[in-house]
Formats: sequence, C-alpha cells, structure tokens
Amino acid sequence: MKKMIEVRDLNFTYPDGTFALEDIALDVYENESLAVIGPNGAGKSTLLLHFNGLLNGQSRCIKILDKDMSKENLAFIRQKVGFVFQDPQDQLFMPTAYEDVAFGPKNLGLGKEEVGKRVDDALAELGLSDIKDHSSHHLSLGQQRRLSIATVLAMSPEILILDEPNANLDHLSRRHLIEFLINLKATKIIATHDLEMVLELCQRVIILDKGKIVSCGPAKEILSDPAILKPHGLEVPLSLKI
Amino acid sequence: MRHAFIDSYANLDTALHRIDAKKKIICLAAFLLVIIFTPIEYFFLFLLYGLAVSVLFYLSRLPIRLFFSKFTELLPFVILIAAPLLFKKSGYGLFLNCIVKAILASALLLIVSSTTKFTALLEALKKLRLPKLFIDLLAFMYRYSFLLEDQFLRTKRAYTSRCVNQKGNFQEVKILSNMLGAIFIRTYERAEKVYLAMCARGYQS
Repeated sequence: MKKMIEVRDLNFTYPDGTFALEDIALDVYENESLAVIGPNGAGKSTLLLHFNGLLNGQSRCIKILDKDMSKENLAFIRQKVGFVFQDPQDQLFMPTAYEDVAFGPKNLGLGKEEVGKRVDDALAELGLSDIKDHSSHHLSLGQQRRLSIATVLAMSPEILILDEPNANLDHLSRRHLIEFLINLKATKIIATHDLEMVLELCQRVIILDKGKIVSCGPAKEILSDPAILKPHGLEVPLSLKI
Repeated sequence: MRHAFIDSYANLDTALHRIDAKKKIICLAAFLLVIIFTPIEYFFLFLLYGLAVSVLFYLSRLPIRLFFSKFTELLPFVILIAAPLLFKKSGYGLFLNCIVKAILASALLLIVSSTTKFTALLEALKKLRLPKLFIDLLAFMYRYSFLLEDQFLRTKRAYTSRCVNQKGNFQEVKILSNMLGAIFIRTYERAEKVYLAMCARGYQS
C-alpha cells in the first residue's frame, strides 16, 4: 500500500510554553480513512494543522507523499493536502460562494477556463450550484460546511483533512455529509467526537490524549473495548453496545 | 441574525441600478472632485448640485428614511471635525463649506453604494486597476463586518441575560470595555485562522 503520510517523533510546544504534542509516530496509507479521537484539548487540531504545514514543530518529522515538509515542498503539499477547518466562517472569506471555491484553483495558477470548470464541478458535486452567487454568511451551517469542502475539492487534493466536520450539524446534513465522505475516493483524516460516524466511515482510529497517541488500531476493535476508551473519557458507541 | 447591509437595496431594478459599476465609480469620482473644488461663494452652483443629487436620489428609488438614518449617524462626526473651524477668522464660511460638501459627497456615496452590489463594486475597482491588496482588504471588511456585528450582538445578549440588577453607569462602562476587549481578541484570533485557511489553499502573500 502506498504511504501517504509518515510522521516520526513529532513534538510540538506552543510559543507560550503550552505543550501540545509528544513523540507522535503515525503512518497513513492511500485511500484509508483515519479517525483522530480524544477529549477536548488533546491536541487533535494541533496535529492536523501539521499535515498542511500550517504549524511546523519540527518539519523534518513529517513526510507527505515521500516529500519532506520543507519550504520548497510547501506549495506541492498544500495542493495535495486539503484542509477543512472546523469553523466554516474561517474558511469562507470571499464575498461570494463562487469566489471562495475559485480561491484555491486560482492560487494553483490555473487558467481561467480550468478554474471555472473546477469550481462548477466542485459546487455541483456538493449540490451547491444554485447558491454560487450567495454570500457565504447567509447560508445555513450545513451549506457552509459543504461549501468549505467544495473549496478544498476544487484543488483536487489526494489527502483530505477534516476537523470536526459534523459539529453542530442537524441530523440530515450529518447524514448527507457521511454518505458523501464514504463515497469520496481520497485519503481522509478526520478529527471528531462523533464515534457513530467513525464506525461508519473509518477503518482505523487513533486516540489522542494529552498530546500523545495512546492507542491505534482498527476502528471496530478500539471502539468496542471499554478498557481502552474509558481512561480517556470516551465511551463505547451505543450501536456497539446493543 | 438581521443585518444592516450597506448594499441592501442593490437588488432593486432602476435605471441607476443597471448602469455599469465602473462607469458609476468614474462619474462619482468626477462629481466629487467638482464639488470639492467649487468655492463656497458660488451659492447658486451648490443649489444646482443639491438638485442633481436629489434627482439621482429620486431615480434610485431608495427610501428617504435610509437617507436620514445614515445622516443622523454621520453628521455628528462631520460637525465634530468641522467645529474647530468656527474659531478661526472668517470661520463660519469654512465651517459651512465643510458641512455642505460633506453632505453632498456622502449622499452621492450613499447612492452609488446602495445601487450597486458590493461584489460588482469590487469587480469594477479591480478593472480600474486599484491595487489588489486594497481590494482584498475591502472584500474582507465586507465579508467579516456581518460576523463582527453578530459577535457583538451575541456578546451583548449574553451580557443582558446575566445582568439582573444594574449597578450604575461606571460599572457598565467597565463591562463594556471588557466586552470590546474580548471581541477584539476573538477578531484577532479569527484573522490568524483565516490567514491559515488562506495558506492551506495555496495563498502566497
């Protein structure tokens, strides 16, 4: 299997001295879905930010598609790795939905026609074609979340990173999102508290607590073992209890 | 939440709305220059300008209360800035000059900004070859002004819901300043996050 991400001995401390990640080692393979779970403040988001070079603890520790996380490779890596932020308001910063989706492809230096095509495709894929001239502020949260994903898909990334993609979504939007992600052919890393979604979507799970990976394994195995989950404030999802 | 858009009337359909945004901006700039460089002694000309602005306002079909509500917000600032002129020699003329021109100019700006979609305005500025950074800044201001307003309303709501007995004005000022501080920090943090989101999609400054 092709190795998409390789992390070795990653440590990270925030500038104010708050320590966030310790000795992280992790491999992510092509087309797998990996869930990152753990309590609030465990370092999930911090870890994810590293995969896109947005934080660089020690850049030598991370390889994306066999390339070091170095300044020269950053443009390449950011094209290959799409990052969907937790709060769509952070991700959607242009005046209209269309311009938001076009932002990434434009930065890739694509021609006008190609940009237009990619934007239309991405919007269509997420069922947002008819709101392309709307200001993102006036969309529902479900639409905003889908639009955030479209902004990233338009760059045709191979790895998709999602930070709590279904936080605050209503039931139907959550369902649509899960179906969409199941059908999407890409390597996915998802930080979430929604363990039911993890069961449906992810093959593998890592548990992060106080900046360390405390366990790692197949989703069903880990999520059905209270002895693993309980010490880290997690509990067995209801569907596995029945 | 409900917002006061600066372009909330941009969806009306009048002759003024249909004019290309680029032409509107050029005409606006020209008209403004003419107004600014007309000496205040030419009283008759100013009447003419006033008439022209009124006709434009009528054509734009904007509600007259929009005009008044904007001016009650704006006029105190203009007066505050112009007031020192009153203490100069022959200051009354200068003061009047300042006020009249400010009113005419802001009425024109109001008409143009209310009859054009903000995105069209940005597009036009881009075509007029304004620096990209400047246009980006304007776009961000527009985009996040809603959010800022929301944030302020939410913070205020949270404050009101917990503020059971009022403790006098000084206390309130203190709380308000804390509130503004909190909003400022959150805005600052959001700016950092938005910048990260831009970088994540290949933005190179």
